[in-house]
Amino acid sequence: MNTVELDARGLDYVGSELKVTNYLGRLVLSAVELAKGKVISVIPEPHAPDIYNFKSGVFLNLGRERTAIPGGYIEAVPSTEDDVASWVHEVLNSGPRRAFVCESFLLRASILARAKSLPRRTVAGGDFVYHWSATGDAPEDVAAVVRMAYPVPLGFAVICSLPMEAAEILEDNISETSLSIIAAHTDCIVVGAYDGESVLVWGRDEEFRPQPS
Amino acid sequence: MSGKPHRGLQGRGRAPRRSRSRRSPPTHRASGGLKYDLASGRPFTRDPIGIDHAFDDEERFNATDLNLYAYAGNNPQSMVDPSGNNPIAIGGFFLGGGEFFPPALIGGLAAAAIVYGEQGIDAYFANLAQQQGTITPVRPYPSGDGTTPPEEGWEWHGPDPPGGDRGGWVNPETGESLHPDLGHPEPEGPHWDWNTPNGGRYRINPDGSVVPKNKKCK
Repeated sequence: MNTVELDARGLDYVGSELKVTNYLGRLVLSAVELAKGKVISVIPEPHAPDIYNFKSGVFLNLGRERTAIPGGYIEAVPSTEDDVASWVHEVLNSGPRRAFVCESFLLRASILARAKSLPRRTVAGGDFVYHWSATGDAPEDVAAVVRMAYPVPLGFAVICSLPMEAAEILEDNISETSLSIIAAHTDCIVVGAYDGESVLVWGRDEEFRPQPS
Repeated sequence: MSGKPHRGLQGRGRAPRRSRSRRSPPTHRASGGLKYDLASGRPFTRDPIGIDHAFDDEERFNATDLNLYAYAGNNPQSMVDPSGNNPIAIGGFFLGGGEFFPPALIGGLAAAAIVYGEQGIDAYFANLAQQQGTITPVRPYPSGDGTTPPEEGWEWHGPDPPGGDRGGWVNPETGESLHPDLGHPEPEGPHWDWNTPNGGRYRINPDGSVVPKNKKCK
């Protein structure tokens, strides 16, 4: 995994994204002191042209060959999704009662009965929609939730170390109290960046920050 | 959208519609998202039900297990959907990128139709399926300026007004969403971001090309 530790601009971006989340992000912003952690950019290749241009998809324009066909083209597209999913799975299984909780920005609870193909652990919290996985989950279950933290216009998820088993507060519809518990025990924040191509990760300490590998 | 959460689980009061099957036939477009076989003038329409059932958890699609032309007696060249209810399957054209190409994708099935003809498209899909086992969905570039739904029945969700930066159009039937990013600076330039319910993410460009954002580059 290729990572770059960001300066204060990374903290600013994470803070600005949390402010416009539906609910959980704003709780997290109140509960966590961002300045006490660090923000890491996860990039698909060792060198990206402008990692501080968080709103643009910098990785699609690295000079790879485009194969033209009439009316379109084929282009190599990098992804950090697999690397981030592996890392989240590892973190979840490095401690007890950890959970990865993703708050959807666009989906609403009213669609849950109809929409197909959502991750297996998808629940409502008031009007909003949450996807989650937890300690002990299979890698593919974790990956299914991690990919929900990337979408434009806003991807957002947290890793938290809960005082109870995750299923106790996440299995059915999530209450405000449960969301407050999640926010209060947040160790890591994941926000979408680069026009949906990757993420930034804020970690309270090194254990919750992806390392280069 | 109010910042206040937990207003209960009510819907938004609008009856959901199966927009996929009720869209009027589009006119021919020269680039990207071609809807008609240029030779016959008839639509290359694929069965949206088949498409829905063909996705796996990886948002991939097994072409070899599916007959997307079944609605028209397996012959879209000589038969059309007489009901008119299924003239075009939105998102029903598939082109693939794969690991035999640099992984990724393509836009413009139009092109394939022009170059390959109907048999060529089938052969093209079969080739893709054979070589990589999967292909990638393509959605046509939505018309409009982002302030109106890309299709009937889609709902705007987000704190900004329709068309704004913080929000997107959601199909309540499927959970897919489209975010208009029509002021995006170069090099990407204006585009729509398409998110599928299981985390597939694509950039739809005005030229009809659709680029997946989460295909592993090898």
